[in-house]
Amino acid sequence: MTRRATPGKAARYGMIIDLDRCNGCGACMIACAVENNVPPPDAKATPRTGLNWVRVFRVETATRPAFVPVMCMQCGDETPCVSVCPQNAVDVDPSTGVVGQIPERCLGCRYCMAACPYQARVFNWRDPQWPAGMEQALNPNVSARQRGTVEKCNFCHGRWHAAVEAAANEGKTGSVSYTPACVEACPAQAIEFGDLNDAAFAAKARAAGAFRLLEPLGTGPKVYYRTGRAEVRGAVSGLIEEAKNGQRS
Amino acid sequence: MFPWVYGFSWTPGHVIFVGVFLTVAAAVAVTVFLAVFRSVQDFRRGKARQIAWQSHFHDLPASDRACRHALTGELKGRVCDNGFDCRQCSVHARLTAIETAPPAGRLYHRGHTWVRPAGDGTLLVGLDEIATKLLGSVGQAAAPPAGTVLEANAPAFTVRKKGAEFRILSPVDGVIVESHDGSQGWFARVKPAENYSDVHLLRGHEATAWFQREVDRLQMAACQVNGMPALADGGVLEGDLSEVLPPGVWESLSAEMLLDS
Amino acid sequence: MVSALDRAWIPRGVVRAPLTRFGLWVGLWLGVFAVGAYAMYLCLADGLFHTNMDNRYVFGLWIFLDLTVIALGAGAFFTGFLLYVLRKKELKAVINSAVVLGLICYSGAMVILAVDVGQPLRAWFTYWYPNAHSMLAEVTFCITCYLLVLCIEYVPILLKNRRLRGIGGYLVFEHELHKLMVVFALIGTLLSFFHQGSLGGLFGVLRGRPFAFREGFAIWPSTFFLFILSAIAAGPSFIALTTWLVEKISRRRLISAEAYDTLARISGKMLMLYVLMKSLDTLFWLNQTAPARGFPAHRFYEFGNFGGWTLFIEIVILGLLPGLALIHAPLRAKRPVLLAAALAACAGVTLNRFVLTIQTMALPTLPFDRLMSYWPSWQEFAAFGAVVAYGVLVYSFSFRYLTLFPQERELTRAELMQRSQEA
Repeated sequence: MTRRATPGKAARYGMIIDLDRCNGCGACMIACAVENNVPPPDAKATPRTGLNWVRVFRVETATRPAFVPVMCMQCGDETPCVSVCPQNAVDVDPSTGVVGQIPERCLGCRYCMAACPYQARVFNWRDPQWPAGMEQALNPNVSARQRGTVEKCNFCHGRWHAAVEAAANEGKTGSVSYTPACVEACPAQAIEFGDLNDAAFAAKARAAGAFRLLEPLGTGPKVYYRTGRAEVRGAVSGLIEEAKNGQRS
Repeated sequence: MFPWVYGFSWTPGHVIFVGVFLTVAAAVAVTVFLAVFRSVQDFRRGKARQIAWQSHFHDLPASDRACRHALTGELKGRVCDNGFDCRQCSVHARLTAIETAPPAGRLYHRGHTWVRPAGDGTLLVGLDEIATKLLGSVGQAAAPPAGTVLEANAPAFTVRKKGAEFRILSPVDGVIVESHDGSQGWFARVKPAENYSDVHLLRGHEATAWFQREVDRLQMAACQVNGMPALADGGVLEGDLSEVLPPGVWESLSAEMLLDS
Repeated sequence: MVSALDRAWIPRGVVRAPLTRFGLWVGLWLGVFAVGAYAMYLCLADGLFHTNMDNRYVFGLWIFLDLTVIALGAGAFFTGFLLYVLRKKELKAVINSAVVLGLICYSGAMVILAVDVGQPLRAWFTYWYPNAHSMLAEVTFCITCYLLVLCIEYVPILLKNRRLRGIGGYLVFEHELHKLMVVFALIGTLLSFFHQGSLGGLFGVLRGRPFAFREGFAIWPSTFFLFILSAIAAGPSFIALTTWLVEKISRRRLISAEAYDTLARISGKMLMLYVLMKSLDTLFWLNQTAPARGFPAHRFYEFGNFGGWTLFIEIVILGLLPGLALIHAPLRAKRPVLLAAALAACAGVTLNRFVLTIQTMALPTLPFDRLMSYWPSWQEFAAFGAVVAYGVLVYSFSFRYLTLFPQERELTRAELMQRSQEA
């Protein structure tokens, strides 16, 4: 809700995920956890209680299955999680378009999780714990979160911050380019990261075959998906016409 | 929440939200403070014991709290709401102020007229308190003129009020020698007939008992009317009844009391 | 000695269970409370992994029951409003009991909420950094304020205790406070109105959850208004039901038949209005709101566990039928019918809260996601059990030592007189 003064041109970071390239290896999930100091799961954690900022869904289609990485969509229109938070712990940074979660202010009421149609938010159900020695490998640019708070993908805020600092040292302000961990780690190069204010990247996001998840909800996600297979588009997009087309083909 | 807290913004939604909350909080705080303040004042003024007694008293069963006027039958079933302290009770003051016993020395006709010997061989005839309550005073124009012949139980004259007519029955046989507007209680001076007798008129304790019953009747009828001062308040005999009672009720009640059809 | 003390504290003129039986009863509930307190300790000290909630099922048993007890506790504000503002004198017979029930429901809900959030020590953040757009901020503000008002309303009942009233200026303060009670009744009504509504709005605003999302008026979705209506419809029924239950357990007559009748009549009228509005809202949602957001309504009801029968039961069986029974005077004059209808009305509101919390969480939004089910852990049941036990204890002590039902004394006397005549 708060507005920060942004010198220079604001960015609107987004992603384009090529579902035809994703083979479901899960490297993005590992890279994300390492980058963002997500603790290794407790022995009793389940897929439903784990701390995955990005999850790869396996989607059965009429032909062969597709794999769909789902992270925070950084919704741009009436961001569902922002207005619900009772104590302003969620905000959208107008200089990046990234939805931020402030763990130090989070009450842990989980109302934002209920509000998120993509289930991209996770809750720290227990105290984070790292095996002895592993704390040496923690990323100093990202703060660890405590039990009882909500967290989620922020397009590798630590990396963005480092990039802004580096640019500032060179006297530059405004939009910077950087690469989130998942994009870097994907062996199939299925994820592309860029600034949607950049005309070339925006055109790519709106090219034929591109879609967003649950578009009719009007949340304006900034993560785009792309596939050449109609049946995949039908099964993933949630659009009724697409689903019908997908079944026919 | 406040302008100096990080994250505060002067958006209308925010200001309304916090404003309403602070108003409610202030209202609750002020009300509690008021209660405390008044309690302290009650103490200072030495009213604590009196309030405690009133509070105890109100928690007693209703049967314990019967009004003294309910015991005498003046007010049926009234429950005291004043802690048995009649010194400040308006009902008690009003009831004792109302003459529920008729003035002595008068002989009463059941149609609410009375007769009193004037001492010079003539009789004074008037409307009693109940009739006056219902009709107001007679008025010079309405009073029967001198020379009118009266006969006991026959109509003496007619009173018009608020579009309604009531005939007043004569208590005695005789001839009117002087008429009056009723402002001094009587409306006619009558020379009695030769065979004059007053045996049929009520007097003494029977007049008292009858008058009491008539007051009860009036109150019983009135207390069935919605919005009327309840019987329990003893408020029925206050004010001009034609003003207080609904017109239909006033008319039929007056007719009954005056033995008119 | 203890029994003499006990007797001195019990209001005069009423009959209460022997101290030993009361002690057993209290002991039983203290046991339930202890188990739940341990479960709460586990959740607070260890973490919420002791519950079976997860990243998908972020709200579970507790939120569902919180919404339910707060809806049923609406009897407190509504009775106060009818008595002090609309001057329905016959409700004086139940107002004290309603206030105690409201206090229990609201304070219990607050306790459970404190366990349910991940960082309860940060609860004050909501007051310091409130987000005016959040329904939850509205709920938090209103419920805490109203809880304060309920505590203030409880004070006169407490101070009128036979022993406490003898102390210093207690009665004077009670007297002055009681004179100002209409202010609290009005503030309580305002606060309750808004938080019952915003509890409904809580789900109605979730534009990412088409099953819960409703359009509405100004800033409030239609569930805001439906929650208010359903709460004031079920509130009087709940008061009638609990009073009957207390009558059965204590084996005493507590209120007159007229008081039951008034409660049932008001409940029935409000219920009929609610059923009408709820039906209109549902039709609009099925045909307009949900399809516009890419979710044809039939998709919500394709899952075996949550078929269309939930809608039918909620609106017809537990809404229309009890409503009809309660507005029909000859029917509600029969005590079993009245009680069954009151129970059905309360069950209907409970089902409504269940659907909005549990079913909303269970239904998938992503097209490739599945229906999720959830069963609460023993810690969740036990923690809620502790709140119920807390409520029973507070009510039992209040009932034993305070005057919750002003008519009881005369009803008891009449009963004792009759019994001695028969003997």
